[in-house]
Formats: sequence, C-alpha cells, structure tokens
Amino acid sequence: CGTSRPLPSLPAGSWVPSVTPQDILYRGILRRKLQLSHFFVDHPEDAFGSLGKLLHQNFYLGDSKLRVSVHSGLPPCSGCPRKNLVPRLRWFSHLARDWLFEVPLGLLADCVHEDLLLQWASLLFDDSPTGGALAWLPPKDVGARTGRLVYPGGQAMNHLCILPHGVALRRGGGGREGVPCCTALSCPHLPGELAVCTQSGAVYLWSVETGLQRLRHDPQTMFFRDHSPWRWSDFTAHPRVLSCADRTGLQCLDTRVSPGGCHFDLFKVGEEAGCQQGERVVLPMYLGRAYPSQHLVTTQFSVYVLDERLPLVPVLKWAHMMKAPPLFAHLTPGGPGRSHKVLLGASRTQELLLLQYRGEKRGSACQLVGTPQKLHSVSSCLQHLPAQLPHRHRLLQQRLSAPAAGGCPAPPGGLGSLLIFQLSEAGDVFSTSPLEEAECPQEPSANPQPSPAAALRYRRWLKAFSKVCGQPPRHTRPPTFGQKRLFTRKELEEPSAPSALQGQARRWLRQAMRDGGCLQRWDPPPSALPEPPEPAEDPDPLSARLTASWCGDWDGWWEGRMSSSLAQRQRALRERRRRQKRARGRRSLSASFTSSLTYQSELSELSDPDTAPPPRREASPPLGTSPPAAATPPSPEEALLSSQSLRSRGIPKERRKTLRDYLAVWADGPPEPPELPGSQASQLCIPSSQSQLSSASQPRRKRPRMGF
Amino acid sequence: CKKGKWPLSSPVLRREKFFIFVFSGSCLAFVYGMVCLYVCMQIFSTVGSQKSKEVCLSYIQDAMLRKQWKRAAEFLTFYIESLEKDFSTEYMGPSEVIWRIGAEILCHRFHNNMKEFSSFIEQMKTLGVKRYLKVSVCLEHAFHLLCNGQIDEAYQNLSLAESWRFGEQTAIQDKEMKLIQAYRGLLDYYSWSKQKNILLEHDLSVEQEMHGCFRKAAMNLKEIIKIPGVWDLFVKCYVDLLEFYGDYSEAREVLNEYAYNSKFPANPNAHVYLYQFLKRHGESKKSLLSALKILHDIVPSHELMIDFHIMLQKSKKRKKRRLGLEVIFAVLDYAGWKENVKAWSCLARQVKQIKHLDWIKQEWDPRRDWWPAFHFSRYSAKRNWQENESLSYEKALVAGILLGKGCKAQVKRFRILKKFLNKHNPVYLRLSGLSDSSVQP
Repeated sequence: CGTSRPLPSLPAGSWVPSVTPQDILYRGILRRKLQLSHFFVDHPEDAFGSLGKLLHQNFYLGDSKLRVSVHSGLPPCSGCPRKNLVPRLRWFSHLARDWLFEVPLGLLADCVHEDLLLQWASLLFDDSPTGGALAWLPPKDVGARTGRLVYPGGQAMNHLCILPHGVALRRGGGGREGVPCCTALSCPHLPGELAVCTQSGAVYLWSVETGLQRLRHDPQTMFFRDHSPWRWSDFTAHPRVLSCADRTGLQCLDTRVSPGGCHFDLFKVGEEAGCQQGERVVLPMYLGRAYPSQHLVTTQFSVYVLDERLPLVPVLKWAHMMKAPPLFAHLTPGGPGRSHKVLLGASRTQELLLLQYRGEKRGSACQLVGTPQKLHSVSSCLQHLPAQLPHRHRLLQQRLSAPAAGGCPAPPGGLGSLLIFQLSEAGDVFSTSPLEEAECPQEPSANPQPSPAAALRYRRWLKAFSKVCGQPPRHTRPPTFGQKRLFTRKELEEPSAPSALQGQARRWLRQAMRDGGCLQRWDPPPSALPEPPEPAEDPDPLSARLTASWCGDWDGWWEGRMSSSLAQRQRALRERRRRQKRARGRRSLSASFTSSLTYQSELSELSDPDTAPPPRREASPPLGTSPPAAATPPSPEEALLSSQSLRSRGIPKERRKTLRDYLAVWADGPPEPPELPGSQASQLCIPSSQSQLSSASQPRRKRPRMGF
Repeated sequence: CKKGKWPLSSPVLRREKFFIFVFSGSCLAFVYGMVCLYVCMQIFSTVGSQKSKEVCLSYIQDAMLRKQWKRAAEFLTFYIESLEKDFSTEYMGPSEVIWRIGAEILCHRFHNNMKEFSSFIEQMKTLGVKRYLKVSVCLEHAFHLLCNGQIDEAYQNLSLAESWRFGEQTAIQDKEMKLIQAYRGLLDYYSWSKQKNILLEHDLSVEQEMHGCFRKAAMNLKEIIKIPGVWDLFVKCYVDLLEFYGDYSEAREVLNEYAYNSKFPANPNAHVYLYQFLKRHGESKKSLLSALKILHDIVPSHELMIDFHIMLQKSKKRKKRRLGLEVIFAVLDYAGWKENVKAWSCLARQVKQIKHLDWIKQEWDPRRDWWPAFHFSRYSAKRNWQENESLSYEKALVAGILLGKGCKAQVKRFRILKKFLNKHNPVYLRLSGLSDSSVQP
C-alpha cells in the first residue's frame, strides 16, 4: 500500500551470491569447543559413516535384514551441512583444486581464519556500498523527459552502464564511482573539482587544473578512537571548505589555509547530539540543493540534519528504526516553499524510506513533514512473478533478495510522479513509484495482481533472467570425473605394444576373473599378516583426542593442546611441509594415509619431531601390510613420479593431481612383488614405463578442520 | 553495528508464525523463538518472548510506514497483551513505545479526534505495565494539545507533570523537569502577552492577573536558561518580559551571558538577539559593530552581514572600511548568496569606487582561481539574465572590473550589458594596471 511494487528494468549478467551467515556459521553459533565436543553426537554420519561403510560387511548384526541403502549418496538428514554448501563448494573446488594442496596447511589455516574474521565483520556491517552506486543524471534540457541512470556493471564492476530510462542499454568503459577504499565526490559548486579521501585518513581536493591538494592527513579518528578505517568527504556551502567524516563525526576543513590549520567540528558523536552509546556515523551528505548550509548525517539509529552555522547541535533528529544502517541517501529538492524529499536506503535488508522535511523557513524550525513512507523492496516482487519450479524459485528468490547496491530518485518530469530506482548487487535495476497523496486501502489484499503492463515487464525480465542463468543447476549430484575427460584418445592408445609387465598383469587379471577370486598375486605373501598394533608408549594424539572426547573431557584436551606454543608448531609444520614437498613422489602408499590425520594431531606431532611417527593403523584400510615408510631411503626412481617428470611426459599440470588421485585407487600395490620380497620399500619401485600412471603418493586432502 | 539485527525469513512466513504466537500464548511464543533460532541462525542470545516482541514491533513499524493504521493498531494490541506477561525491566519503558505508536496511529486513523485521544491518554496512565510514564511523554502530549489549540489543557497537563515524582530522581529526569517548567513558563508568557494586548487597549482590569502571569513565567524561564544549551525561544520571551517592565540591565545581562558564556554552544542567534537588543535601545555604533563582528567571525554568511557591511562603509576609519570590503566578499563566497541582488550591488558599489584598489586586489587574489567558475560562468550568466536582470547588471559590473576582458565571453550576447560595461571600463584599466599582468588577459 502506498507504493507500487518495484518493476524490473533489465536483468544483468550472472551473479555469484555473496557470503551468507550460513556459509560461515554452523548452526548459527560459533562455539568451537562445544561444537567439537558434541561432534559425534550431532553428526554421527560424518563421524562414523565412512568407517561403518567400510566395515559393515564384517559385522554380524543378527538375522534381521538390514534396510540401509549404502549407496544413496548424501544421507537425507535435514541438518546436512553440505546441502547449502554444495554450489559454493563446486565453485571452490573448481577454482582451487589444482593448487590448494600445495599450500602449507598452517599458512592456509591462518589465511582462512583471517578471511573468516573479515567476512564475518562484513556480514555484521558492510560499509563498501556506502553512498550507493546508482545515480540519476537529469536531462540536459529542462523539458526533456528522459534522464539517465548511471551505475557500475560488468563482472568486476569495470563498466559504467548508462541507462536512458526506458531505452536499451549502452555501455562504455569507465571506472566505478564509489571505490571501496576511498570516496570521490564531485563539487556541486564548481565544475572539475572532486573531494577525495582515502582510508589512511587523508583528504584531498582535486581539481582539473591544480591536481591534488592535501588538506588533512591523520590516520587516527577525529574525536575518539574507533577501529574503522572508513572515511568520507563532501563539500559545504563554501566552495573552499570541505567536510570530512569518519565514524566518530564530521569536521570542516578550509582549503585556503595550510593543512591542519583551520577547521571546525560540524558533528560529533556525543552528548551535544544526544547520541546513544555505540552510535557511529554511517553516511554524511551535503543537502546544498535544499538549503545551502545543511547537512544530513545518518547513524545506525537516527537521522540528523545539521546546520553549518550552528554546528554540533542538530537542527533535526529522527530515529529511523531501520533494521540495517542506511548506507545511501538521496535528496530531491522540492520547489521553493515546498518540502524536500530524502530517500534513505539500507543495503542488506533492501529497506527504502522516503522522508519529507522542511526547514529554516523564516522563524519556523526544521521539521519532518507527514509520515515517512516505506517503499516495497525488490524481494517483494517475487510474488508477482509466475510460479516456478522449486529450484528455479530458489534461484529467483536468491537473486531478488540480493543486497541493494544503490537507490536514487528520479525527480518527477512534467506530470509524472517521483520514480525511485533500486540497484541490486546482482546488477538488476528496479523502479518503484510512491503513490503520492493517494488514499491507501486500510488492508492490503493478500496478493494484489499487477497491471497487465507490469506483468509483461515481469515476464520479460524473467525470460531474460532465465536466459542468463539458463542451465538448470546441476549441483544436486556430487562432482564426478569421467575417464574420457582425463585422457585424450592418444594418451589412451599410447602403449601400443604392451610391455611384459602389462601382459603379466593382464594374465593375472584374466586368471582371477576365471577363478572368480581376487588378484591374490598382487597382495603381499599371505604370511605377512598385519602386525598387531604395538602397545604405544605414549598414545598418539589422535587416539588421545578420541579417548578424551569419548570420555567427555574434550575441553580439557583442547586447552592442553592450545597451551603449547602455536608459533612453534607452525614453524615445525612449515618445515615438515617443506620436507614433504621435497620428498613428494617418493612416498609410499602407506605414507599417503598419514595425511588422513587431522590438522591438530599433525600439528601436535610436529611440535616434537624427534618422536617416531605414531602408529596409525586404525585409520588405514586393511590393504597395506607394510610398516610406515618414514625411514625409507630415497631411491632414484622416485623422481619420476614428481610433477617434473609428469610434465616432461606431456601431462598438463591441471591433470596431474587428478591423475594421481584417480590412479590411487588401483595402482596401489607393488607391481613386481617377487623382485622385492619383503622389502620395506617395495611399493616404491614402479618401472619407468608405468611411471606416467603415477602412484598413490599424493595424499588426499581432508576437509577443512573441524575447528572452523 | 547493533548485534542481532538480521533480516528474518520471508515476510509471509514470519507473519504466519507470528499469528500462531499471538493466538496461543506465551508457551508458543517461546516455541516460535526457537523456530526463529533454528531457521534464521542469526539470533545471538535472546530467545523467546523478547524476540517475539521485537518482531511484533517491527510489524507495527512496517504497517505504520505503509500507512496501514488499522493493521498497526491490531499489532499494537497484541504487543500490549504480550507485555502484560513480561517481567523484564528495561530502561526504555515500553509504555513510552506504546504512547508514541498509539498517538501516531490515533492521529492518523481518527484524524486527530481529541476525545479518542484523551481516553487513550487516560488508559496510558493506568496501564498495567511495569514502568511509569516518563515526563517527556507528558511534554509531547502537551505539544499535541497545543497543536490542536487546547492551550488550557496543555497547561494543566504540564502542571500535573510537574507534580509527579516517581522513582529516584535521576539527573535526566531533573533536566526534563526543568524543561517542563520552562514550557509552562512559555505558556504563562503566552497568556501574559494576551493580557498585555488587552491592557494596551486600556482595559486595566487584567493588570493584576497579568502580573501574576509575569511572575510565574519569569521564574520558570529564568531557571532553564541557566543550563548550557540552545534556548532561543525561552531567552527571547524572557527578554521581552524584562524589557516590558524596564529591567534593561537584567535583560542585557541575560543576553550577554547567553552569547558569551563559553559553556553554551556557539550560537549565532545569541549574538543576533544581543545585536537586536542593543539596536532597540539605541546603543553606540561601537557596541553594535562589536556584536556584529563576532557574528561575522562565527557565521560569515549571516543575513545581518549586509547591515554590517553598510555600517562599516559609513565609518570614517580606514580599518573599518577595509573590514567592510572583507565582509561583503566573504558573504559572496557562500553558495546561498550566489543570487542575492543586494549583496552584489553592495560589492558593485565598492569596486566602482576607485579609492582602494589595492584592497580589492588583496581580496580578489585568493578568489581569482575559483570565483570565475563559481560566479561568472557562461551558464550562470545566461540563467541570471533570464531570471533576474538587475542581478545580471550588478554581476556583470563586478565581473567586468575584476576580470576585465575575460568577462566579455560572459556578456557578449547581451548588448545592453556590454554598453553598460564600457561605461565603467576605466575602473578596470586602473585595477589591471595595478595588479600587474596576472589578471586574465
């Protein structure tokens, strides 16, 4: 009621949704200790699933039939964490699978942790869209009806889109106006001048003729200490005086005197303005087009109007009660004697609020006129779009609820009413018009039908949208790799004349198929039974952790771990990674399972590298019988399995890892056991003719550690 | 950033859940809170009814911002019901919230029906919530009554509020009480000035009553203006009272205190009042000028600067005339004065007098790089000519002298202007001769 639903203008290209809290938080609360100590209880499938699947054949569970289907892929539990993450994981694995394993785990963990903190902070409050990225350029001639919308577009915001309202899109090269690290606002008084400020606290006046003039440089915030590097600058009623703002307030700087010389405080978060605790400046704006000496300042709680002539004491204060801080504001000046309209917009919640205010008319105080009006958000037009299949509906919903990147009013041209444009982060432009002076029905109908013209526009937008996101989402299945994609036909045909070894292998294979048995010949001699686990002197960290968490004392274990020096561990870890890198390619199969340990146990073990590698047999499938290969002397053939040798054989880089992994499944035995009977290093000697098939040496990376 | 302020799920979903809560009581409210927790993953610590109240308030806000007053009223009823089961003790009492929302809804829904409003107020006073109404609510009620012309009721209301003493007297409450007293004083002043008008019509019967009003008003107003702050309205009324009874020294003291006490915020109006007072009482030029000089230092763009400039020009002292030129240049620096004919004619008169060209040059030099683009652009010349011819003349004259031939681009379309300029060209020649070759050729 009161406003029309937003109408789409044009859909932009594809868009990768930004991070949501669900991506970072697991069940909403970041309580690592609690979360981990309950891990077995909360996620039994993850904790025991794989082991259970491996072992279930060996258990006798009574005569009643098992009704568990093992091959069903993801368990259908509602709390499955992968459900939400799958599309993102696909993106990530696509981007990172070729290099991620090269990064030392400790460094990676630090980087991930740091980034998570940043992401989380930006989820709490993201100030990068401050000021909005959408502007309305009025028509050149007063009579003309088509103004232009200007906004950044393209994959990297590297295009400046100029949209004559209602006409097709035209693109030109350009930069983004509101770069996150600094602001540049053009002077309303003089052409060719910009107020520029940077995050390091410098404020400049730039003009075409004289270039940059620095007015202030102070990395500290103005009135009290605040951690935010956000800065803003704008113009004032005097063309030579600039205002600069940080989260604590606004100051006015005179460009005619030396830097740091003449300034006065315009607004200060504090007692004079009746600010609340924790209140911070979100966006200042010069209201020169309405009243030459007035400024608007928004905080997360209130909106203030300030007069330069009576600084520090606001002439108007109003609690806006928006759910998110208003990050962009636009002024539409009314004629003389009429009220001025101010549009406030929040980014994440897509809120748009239209205020009218009037001030300083000889003797009367500055005041709001009428009730503020809330405009419909972009996401509210979902109900006007035709019904969709569920997954398309979800896509559409995601698209429409993208955070707003800007909003601006287009002043009424001629008879038309005010039109308000909204730009979403996905690049879509929508327009709304608040119905002025209209009598609103008291109760909104449940689902008001759009007019035929509007419905047509919705349909057209939807059509273009489905063209952009044309392919049906295929993220319901886990990614698979086909053999065809791994090898070219030529590579597959290469061994034209099978070597003696291959011939032998085939013979064994045929024999085994005839007998209906296993390829026993590839296994080590049956006499070499798996040795019983040695009674360890000090239990290895993994078992210690498992034991501790089983007994419910996981917290204590964690504290103990954390108390040792982290830096020391990281150093040791880096050293270990370097050693591993050097030794890559000469690892044995059993060594490949060392990496199946989790990060923490690895770290802890590395903290004293002198101790022998702990027995880890409980973690390895009962395939290998050889003891750990840590003490294996390097052999000359190992180098053949390294990246270099693979490269020299013409296997492209992106395939090497895949190849190793792929072959890990079946290239996991000593091809010539008789030649190296009982050898500790038997698995390593692969003839060079087969070395292109690599070995299982490359450890499979685990999922990120539980702690994050 | 405030914690826990996250968008919830889709509005439709929320509304359904909300209704469940409303109709099934507090137990389900808790369940609703848990559901919210699970679905939204953003709620940090508060669970249960506190959250649902917040949600309810956000619905009320939404309805009000969309002007759905009936819906807002319904939600408000739910909100009040939920409060009755609540035992939390917040600082911002919910009664204030209810008062504000209720007043807004009543104003719009029943088109300011005073009867409805009064009954609402009565209910507010007896509302079974845990907090007493703050005095500021009472002040707002008084404003509302005043806006509807019910001055006596408003007065009564304020007197009643003054007599309230609830809980411990905090500093804030004390200040608010002073404010209430001041507004009551203002109403006393209002009735005083009404009776004064009657008295001036030679009806002496009201004299006694009028003095009573004066005493009450003066007492109340005097209190508030002792506290640092912006009290323009109260100061003006108080000074008016004092002046009527001839207590000029007290009035002057009040105004001086208001203008010069460093504890008060720098308030240009204080200097304006002082200047006006001094002018009314025929004070010396010197004191008038000193009052305006301070005003000039605080707000160089004030309207009184024209008066200041004219006064300075009349002075015989060189220094003051020099200041006068500075003042008028400073005034025209501001965007708000760009199209003020009076200011431009003052400046034009100054530059026409060929007396102190070096002064003009000193003023012009720092402005040389930006005034042409700011004032004398082709675009503004065209617009000024279309909108205000006399302004155009004044500006063209100034531009002609300051810029010399450079301004011809500005005026070449307007023959009359050109002729006008040629008449005053000798001034430019002398100015440009003086200011060597740095003036635009």
